[in-house]
Amino acid sequence: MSTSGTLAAPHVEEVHVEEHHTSLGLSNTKLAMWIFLGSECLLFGALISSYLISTARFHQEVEAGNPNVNPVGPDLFDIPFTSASSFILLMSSLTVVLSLNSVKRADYRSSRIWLGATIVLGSTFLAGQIYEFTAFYNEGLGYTTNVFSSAFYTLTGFHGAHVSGGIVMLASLLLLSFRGKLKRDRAETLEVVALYWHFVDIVWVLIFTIVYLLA
Amino acid sequence: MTDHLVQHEHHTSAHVEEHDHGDGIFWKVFVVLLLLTAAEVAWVEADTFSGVVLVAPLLIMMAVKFWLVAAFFMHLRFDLAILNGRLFTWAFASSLVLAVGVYIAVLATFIDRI
Repeated sequence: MSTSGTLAAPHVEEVHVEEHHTSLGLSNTKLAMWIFLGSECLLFGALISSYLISTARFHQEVEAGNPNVNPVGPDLFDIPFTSASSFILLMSSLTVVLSLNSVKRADYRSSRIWLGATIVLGSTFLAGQIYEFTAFYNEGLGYTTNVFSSAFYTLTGFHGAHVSGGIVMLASLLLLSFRGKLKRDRAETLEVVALYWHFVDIVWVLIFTIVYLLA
Repeated sequence: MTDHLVQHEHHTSAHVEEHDHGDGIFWKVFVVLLLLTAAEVAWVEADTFSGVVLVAPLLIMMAVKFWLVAAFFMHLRFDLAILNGRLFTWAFASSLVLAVGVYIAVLATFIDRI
């Protein structure tokens, strides 16, 4: 503050952030996301393993005619409907990578369109999951109905929660893009979120085959 | 006092190269993924196969889809190719083997208790 009592002009400090040289040639941000996805692999691996064990036990109990076990199970699956959900999620992986490519080309309008499409597709998938869960519940498959239902809802519920988190992240990026803050030099931000989204898609590829098709 | 961060992206690392791909490759991969998914559903809905004949092709198609998304959409194929040395590739591959081994061990441990 100057002696006259008026505020001095704020000192604008320009900090030039240089990209750190890394021994692996990969940025720390991207490496951190890969490590996080590695931990997520352990999570979903444990959930899928639990599902397989629980389902095997469920089938054994049902075939043995155990009267204490509610036999409502995988017969409720609607494969064509779930196939459509799979197509939608696969398409969302395509749209997010097209959005990333657009940002790298400095085509920000296309990037926003593809990003918006990803959000819409992800939300559609989520809506399909909610519809499916509601239908199953109305057919008598609740969370505590039997060991199969608990494992199924836990696994797919966790996946749905991850999809929801991904949608929030993508929406944040779309907002940033509209504010002009998602430029070519910040493409890595979108790339890192896209990596997460692709992982969510990969997990669904596993779930669709193991849970639905092999039921 | 206002601090303004001015971020400059320096392409200083000689190891990292930007692989600028057109959209075509992604569309092609997407079509393959769609066809594989359709094939999976058709294989099951045919209701003709059972046992190993049913399961093995499904798992193979699942693995191929997994690899396509990881290699192309997640850019892993290109990132691994440009990384300095084979250390990272071996670390990634061995981690994957270790993880699968852990899952198999867990399944083998608890499957007897069913």
